[in-house]
Amino acid sequence: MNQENGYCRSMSNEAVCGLVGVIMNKKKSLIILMIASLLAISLTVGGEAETVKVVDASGIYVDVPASPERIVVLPSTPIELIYALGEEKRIVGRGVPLPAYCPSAKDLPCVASCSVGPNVEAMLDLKPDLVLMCASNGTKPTAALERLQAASIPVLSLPSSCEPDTLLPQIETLGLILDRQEKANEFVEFIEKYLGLIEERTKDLGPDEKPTVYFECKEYKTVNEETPLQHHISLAGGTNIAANQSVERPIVSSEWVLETNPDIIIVGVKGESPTEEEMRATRDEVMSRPGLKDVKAVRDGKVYVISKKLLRGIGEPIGCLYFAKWIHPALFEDIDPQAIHEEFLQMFFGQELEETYVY
Amino acid sequence: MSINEDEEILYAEEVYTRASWKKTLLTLFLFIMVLTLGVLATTIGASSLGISESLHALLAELIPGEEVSHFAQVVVLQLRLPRILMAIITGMSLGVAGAVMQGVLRNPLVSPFTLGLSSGAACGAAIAIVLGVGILGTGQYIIMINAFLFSLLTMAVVYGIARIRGTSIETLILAGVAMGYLFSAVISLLQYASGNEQLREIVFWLMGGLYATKSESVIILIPIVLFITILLMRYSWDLNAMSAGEEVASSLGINVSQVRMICLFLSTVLTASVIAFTGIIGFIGLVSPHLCRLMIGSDHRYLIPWSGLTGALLLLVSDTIGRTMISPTEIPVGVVTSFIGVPFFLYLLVRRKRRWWQ
Amino acid sequence: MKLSVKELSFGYGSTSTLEDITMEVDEGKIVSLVGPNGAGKSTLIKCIDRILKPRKGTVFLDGKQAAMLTSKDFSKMMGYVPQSTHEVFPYTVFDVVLMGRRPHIGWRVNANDVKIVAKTLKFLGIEDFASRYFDELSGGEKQKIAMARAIVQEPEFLLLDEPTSNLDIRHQLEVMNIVKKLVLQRRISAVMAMHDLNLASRFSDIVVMLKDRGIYTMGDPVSVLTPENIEKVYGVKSEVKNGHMDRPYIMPLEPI
Repeated sequence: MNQENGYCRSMSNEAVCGLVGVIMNKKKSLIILMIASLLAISLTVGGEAETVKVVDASGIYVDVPASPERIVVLPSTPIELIYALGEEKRIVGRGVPLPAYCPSAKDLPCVASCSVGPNVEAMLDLKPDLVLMCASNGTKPTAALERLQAASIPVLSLPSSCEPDTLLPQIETLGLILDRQEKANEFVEFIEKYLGLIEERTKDLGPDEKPTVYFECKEYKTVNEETPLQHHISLAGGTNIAANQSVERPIVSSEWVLETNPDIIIVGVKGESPTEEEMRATRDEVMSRPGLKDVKAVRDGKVYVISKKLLRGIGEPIGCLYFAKWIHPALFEDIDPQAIHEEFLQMFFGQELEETYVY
Repeated sequence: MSINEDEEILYAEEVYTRASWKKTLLTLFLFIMVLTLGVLATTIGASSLGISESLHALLAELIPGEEVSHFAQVVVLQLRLPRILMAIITGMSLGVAGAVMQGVLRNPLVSPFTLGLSSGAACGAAIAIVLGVGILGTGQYIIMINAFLFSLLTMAVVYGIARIRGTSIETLILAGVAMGYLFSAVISLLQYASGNEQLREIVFWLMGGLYATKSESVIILIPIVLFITILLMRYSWDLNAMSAGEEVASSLGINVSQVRMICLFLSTVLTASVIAFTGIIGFIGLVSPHLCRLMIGSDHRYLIPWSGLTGALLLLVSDTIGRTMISPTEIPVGVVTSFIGVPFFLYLLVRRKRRWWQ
Repeated sequence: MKLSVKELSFGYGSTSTLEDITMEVDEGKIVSLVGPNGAGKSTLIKCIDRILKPRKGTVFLDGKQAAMLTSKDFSKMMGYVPQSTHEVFPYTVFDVVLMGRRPHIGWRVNANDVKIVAKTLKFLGIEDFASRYFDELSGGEKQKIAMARAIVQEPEFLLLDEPTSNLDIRHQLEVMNIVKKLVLQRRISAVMAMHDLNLASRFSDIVVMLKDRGIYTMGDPVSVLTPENIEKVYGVKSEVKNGHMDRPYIMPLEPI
C-alpha cells in the first residue's frame, strides 16, 4: 500500500461545501476511485422541493431529496451511520444483516434477504421517499433499482461497505442529506484522529519491521490482498502472509502456515454476538491445532480473536486500532482500543460497552 | 477340442483359476499402489520440506535413533499423514458403499447421492449450522452428529417407505430420490433464511473437503470403516446371487430382504460416518464401482475391495493435487476428483475393455 | 426323494391365485404343469421353491415339512431355473454358474466347486463360454447357463419355469434333453411349468393340468392330454394324434 492511501482528511471540511474527497489507491482503477469518492457535490435549494446533489457508487451525480422522512436502508453500515447521526427515526425499512449498535433496528421491517436480494414490492409498501442501496451484490440490486426508479422513488447506491475507506465518505453524504453535517464532521474527526495516528506511527516502518500476520476467518480460510482485511493489516503495520494468493478468500495449506511461521494470528470469530466463552474456545482451538502449536505466534501467545462487528461497517476503525495494538504493542503502548471503543459508543450511540469484542 | 476328457474339464477350470489368481494379484497390486502413493503423498506439500527429509520423518517413527527436525516431524506426521489417511479411508468408504448399494439394488445409477443420504446429511448439517439445534448433543460436534444421524434417518425413511410396498427396488430408489429432493428443498429454505455467514458455511459443507482433518477423526474412522468393509465383504456371494434377481437369489438360499436391509444399513453407516467428517464428496460412490466393473468384473468378492481401493486412490490423488497444485491455496477436492475421474471413466466406457485380468 | 404338496393355497391380498393344490412327485420323474395363462403354473413353482409364501398348505420333502428347513439346506435340495435371466452387471458365464454353489460354500471357493462348475459346463456343452460375458449370449445359451447354475446346486429337485419359451426349436430340444439326461443320470426329479403341450407330452412322466387356480386333472400324458380335457381347460378344439414314441401329439384347431 502506498502512503497516499490514507485519509485525505484535510479536504473533508471543504467536501461538505461541495468538493470531492479523493482517496488515492494505485491498485484501484478510476472507477473505484470514483466510487470511493462518494461525496456531496452541491446543495441546491430550488423552490419548495429541496434536493441535494451527491455522487453515487458508480460516480454519477444524482439528486436526492434533502431531509427525507421515510428512508429504506438496505446495507447495514449506513443504518449504523444514520443511528450515529441520531436520525434513526427516519429509517422505515432495513435489509440484512442486522446492523451493530442499533438495538431498535431489528424491529424495522426487513425488505431484503441475503439470497434473493431486495423485495421491491415490500419496499414500495413502506412508501419511502429515499432508498439507500448497496451497489456491489451482483445484478439483483440493479434490477430492483430500475423498478424503484420506474416507481419514481429516489434511490441512492452506496459503495459496498466491504470496500475499505468508504465509511467516512458515506457519513459525509448522509450528513448532507439528513442535514446533520456537524455531527457527521464530529464523527469523521473522531475516526480520522485515530486512523491518522495509526498511519502516522506505522508509515515509516521498513519491511523488516512489519510482523507477519495470519488472519483466519474459518479453519485455514484466510484472506488475500483484495479483501478489506488486507487494508487493516497493512495499515496496522503488519504483513499479511496470504496477500499474494490468487483466490480472494483461499483455504491454505496448514503446513504452509506452519512454515511461514507468522508472528501474529488474528481470528475472526464465528457468530454475530459471540460470548467471551466462545471466543476463548476459538482461541484455544487455534492454539491447540497440531499445525499451529509450534508457530511463533502461538508460542508467544500472540493469538487474538476478534468479533466480526469490528471487521466491517462502523466498527472497522476500532478493529484497526486493535490490529495496530496487537501487531505493534510497543508503538501503541499509550493507546487503549477498548477505552476508545467505549468513548466511541458513548459519543455516537449513547451506549455502554457491554459485549465482548476481542479476546 | 482336446482328446482326453479330464483335460477338457480342466479347460474351464484352468481359465477360471488363472483369472482368479490374476484378480487376486491385481487386487494386491492395487493395494500396494495405494500404499505407495500414500507414502509418496507424504513427501509433497506446500512447505519446502524435501522428499528425503519427509521420508526420514516417516521412517523415524519406525526406526528408533533416526534424527529429524521437529518441523519435518510435525508437517509429515501431524499434518500430512492424518489427511492422507483420511483421504484413503474416505475414498474407500465411498467406493465400498457405492459398490454394495449398486449391487444390492441391482441398479448402476445408485449411489449415496441418489438414495438421498448425502442430501440428508447435508440437511442435518445445515439445520445444525442455521438453527444450532441437533438431534443429540451440542457444541462443536453438533454438525457432525446431525449429519450422521440425518443420513441414517433418511435411509430408515426410504427403507420404511419401500417396505410398505414389499421392498421393491424401484420403490426404494424412487423414495430415495424423492427424499433427496425434499432435503434439498429444506437446504434451499435454510439457505434462503440464513445470514451471510451461515450461508457460506453451508456452501462450504456442501463442497466437502479434507483440509481440516484431525488425527482423532482418523483414529475414530479407521476401525469403523475396516470393520464394516469386512462385514460387507462377507456378503459378496449374496450380492453376486442377488444380481441375478430376487427369485434366483432366494432359491439359492438367500434371505433377500434381510441381506438387502443389512447391506443398506451397513453401507449407510459407512457413508454417513465419513461424510459427517468431510462434508459431501460426491462422484466417488457412483463412479468407483463402475470403473472397477470395467476393470475387474462384477464379482463382488473382488469388486468390493477394488471399488474401495480405487475410491481411496482417486480421492488420495485428487486431494494431493488439490493441496499442491496452486499451493498454498487449496482447490476443493470435489472439483479435482471430477476433473480427474470423469475423463478416465469416459475413456474406459468408450474403450470398453473389460478383461483386464485375462 | 419324494415331494408332496398338500392343500396349498396362495393369493395376493384378497385375490387368490392357487387353491387347494395337492400333488406328489416321485423320485426320478419329470412333471409338467400345464394350463392356460393365469392358471397358476409359475405361482405353484415359486410356492414349492419358497420364493412365495403360501397362504396355507404345506410342502413335504420325504415327509418332512419343507418350511422347517433352513433356507441354506432347502436350497441344497431345490434348484430353480427362472423363465428368463437378466444380469444388470457384467458377469462371466463361469461366475454366473458358480453362484449356484452359494448354498455349499463359505466365502472361499475351493477346487471342488470350480471342478463341479467346469464339469457342468462340459455336461451342457458350453464350456467354451466360460469366460464370455453372460449378457453377450443368446436367449438359448442364457437358458442353458441358468440351468447349469441350478445343476451345480446339486439339488434333488429341479424347478423350471417355462424353460422353453422364447427358444428356437433346436434350443427347446436341447434344453429338454438336458432335463431328461439329468433326471436319468442323477435320479433327481424335475417340475416344469410348460406352455408347449407337445414338449410336455413328449418329455414328461406326469402332466398336471391346472385350471382356475386348481388342478383339473393329472396323470400320464396319454390320459391327460385328450381333446376333451384340452377343450375344457383351454377352450380350444384340437386333434390328438399318436406322435413320437407313442406320446400324444396335439394339434390345436380353433378356439371355441
